[in-house]
Amino acid sequence: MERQGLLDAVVAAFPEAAVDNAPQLPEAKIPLGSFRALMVRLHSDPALALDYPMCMTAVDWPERGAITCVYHLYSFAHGHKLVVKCDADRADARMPTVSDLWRGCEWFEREVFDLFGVVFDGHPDLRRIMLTDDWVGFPLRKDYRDSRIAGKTY
Amino acid sequence: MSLLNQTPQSKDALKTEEYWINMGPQHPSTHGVLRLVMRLDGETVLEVVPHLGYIHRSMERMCEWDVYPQLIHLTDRMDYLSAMMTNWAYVQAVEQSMGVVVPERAEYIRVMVAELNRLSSHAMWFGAYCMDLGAASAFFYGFRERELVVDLFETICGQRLTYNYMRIGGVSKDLTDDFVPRVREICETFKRAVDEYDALVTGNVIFEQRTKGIGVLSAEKAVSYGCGGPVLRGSGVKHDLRKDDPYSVYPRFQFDVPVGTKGDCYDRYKVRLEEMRQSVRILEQAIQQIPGGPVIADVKAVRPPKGEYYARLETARGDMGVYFVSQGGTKPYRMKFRSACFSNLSCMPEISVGWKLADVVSILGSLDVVIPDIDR
Amino acid sequence: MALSPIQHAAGVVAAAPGGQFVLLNVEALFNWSRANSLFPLTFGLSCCAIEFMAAGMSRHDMARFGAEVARATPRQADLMIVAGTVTEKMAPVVRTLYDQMPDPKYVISMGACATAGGPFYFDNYSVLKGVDQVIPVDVYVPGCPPRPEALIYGILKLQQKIMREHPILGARIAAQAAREAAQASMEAGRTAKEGGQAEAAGPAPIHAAPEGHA
Repeated sequence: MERQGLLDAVVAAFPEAAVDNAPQLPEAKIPLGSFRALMVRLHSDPALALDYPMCMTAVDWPERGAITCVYHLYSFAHGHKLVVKCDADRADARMPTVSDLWRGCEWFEREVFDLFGVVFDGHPDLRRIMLTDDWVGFPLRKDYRDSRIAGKTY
Repeated sequence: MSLLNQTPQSKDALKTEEYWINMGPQHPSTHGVLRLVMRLDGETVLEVVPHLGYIHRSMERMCEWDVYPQLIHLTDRMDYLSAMMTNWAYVQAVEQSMGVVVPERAEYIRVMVAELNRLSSHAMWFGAYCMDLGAASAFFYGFRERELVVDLFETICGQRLTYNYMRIGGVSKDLTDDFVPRVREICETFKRAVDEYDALVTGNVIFEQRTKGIGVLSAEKAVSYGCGGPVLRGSGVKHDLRKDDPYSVYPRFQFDVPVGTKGDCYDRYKVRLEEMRQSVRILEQAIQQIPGGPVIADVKAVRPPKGEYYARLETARGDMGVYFVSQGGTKPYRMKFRSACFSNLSCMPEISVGWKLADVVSILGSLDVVIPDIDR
Repeated sequence: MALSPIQHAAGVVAAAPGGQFVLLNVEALFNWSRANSLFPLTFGLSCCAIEFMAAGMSRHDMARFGAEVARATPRQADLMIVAGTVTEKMAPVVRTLYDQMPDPKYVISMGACATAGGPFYFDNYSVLKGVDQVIPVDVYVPGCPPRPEALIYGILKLQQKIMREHPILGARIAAQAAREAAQASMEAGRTAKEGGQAEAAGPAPIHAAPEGHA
């Protein structure tokens, strides 16, 4: 499906999504309430069939008070890509999991939990993946402070 | 009556227990510092829990504090066996964000060094895999071929492993005069070498029993886990980013994409051997087609416009992606490396269940993981 | 410092005519056999591991120097080549492996990361700035990664270091050195006390005058 058609399909099903036919990849920004429903739709709808998790990560925006989870998805059947973004509240970062839809997201979500502190509801095994289990803090947040860090200051 | 002749009178006479066993992080077969904690029933694996992070070098945080050109050397140290390709993935993402046009000669050089890197990576994988299965002498064969490629890289960029050869806009140095004749020799050597590997290992009964039917990964699972490269293709999914999401000058080359059928370790092995032959094909065409000209574009200041960018590349291990957020400055706001091995390894807990402990080594070897790529 | 029975026996031999000569040659034999048959532990952490493997392969061939038998278990190894970056998570494991190795054991810190943190020194929350923060290191091999020839040079340096060791007379030499050091510090303390008293008598009247002025 070509890019504008894909974005139109998303908006038709979820009018609250803010879509952007960006030069690189089409983006859809969805509020947290409809996030899970959109992801289920993107995975199961045969016209969309986004079955491959290209990448899943998060970006910390302290001035907005949000941690944006970014999902890059690809469809083998149709060859189209879509970027889905959803803001989680920075003070109490919780998101629904999509690890049952894309098995690859199981470890991606664990990494986001480890480095950003976003809790994924419904995740089968949410524990730290890169750091030790007793690590305090979430290093990729912009306000992370650690005496171990040498050199250029924060 | 000896113990061998005794049989248990009833099921209750033989008491079995499950137990947890730890493999790693220091282990010759984990290809780095990977810790696998496994629950076993005798020799049969019931559950595998990988523990990562023993080589987590906080690269993504480091990227927020350096300017874009300073980050190229970090990508070398991620998947160091295909360092040219990880370099390329990163510089490609930055170039696409700025709209930099890379000179044609630089594109051909990039393709050539990437395919040479793929050859050296697969040769080393072949040696390491056979050594994991017990055939230690194959390790020497793999390294023998790898040394030829690595010597060539040393003449163009001065390094054997962490090349730091790519630059934003091209490559750092032009090729030497003897590069093309040496590539021709390497192509001939690798054609013979892959046939030699086939003759030595592929039909071997022990090798087949240790790889055929072991660790079957179905196509749907491979796609759902986000696997790429030979892991995905071994499961029958004909998907190669060089053909399906082409970048650089790959559309000008004719090459096949080998695909497996069953998705077991043997298929992944065969796919990699065949990929080596296809890389030789690409190299031979590239030598014919390479033009003259500059090897780097004139990039004044690396300041990607404000926005978010994503680029993918086919490394020796799979689908590598680079996602970054730019605020218009000289340093990235957020840099994420989507590593091929991370997704490839995530399928391992599921495909190892039910096999024996020794098969876990075979499965891990066939996934061809480089742990620093996973941990970054 | 208490000496073990072997040290006592060595003392008896050393006291006998020609005994020092015999002991030094026995020591040289021990050192030579240890240096030329090092069993490295397969301890590749990251990129340097590849160059470590390449050093053991047919082109660079560490086997010429006796170090090819790489054991996977620390119980059977006597050389730990820390090849790669040591992270905070891995540091206790490195310490455990080092403690599991039997004496005499040696450590080569291979590469910039193991030496001092390497390219991961700055802006990093998880990398240990050098493996010598957890284990004692004998030889540091710089490079990122060091060439296989550089690693072999490091092993040769370690062999030279081992040849200078004193496995039998070592305790006696150390005891002698400790006795001499204690002696020297007692002498220094005595002279300092005497000198200090003489000095204390001197400056006092000189200090009184400026205060009167101010």
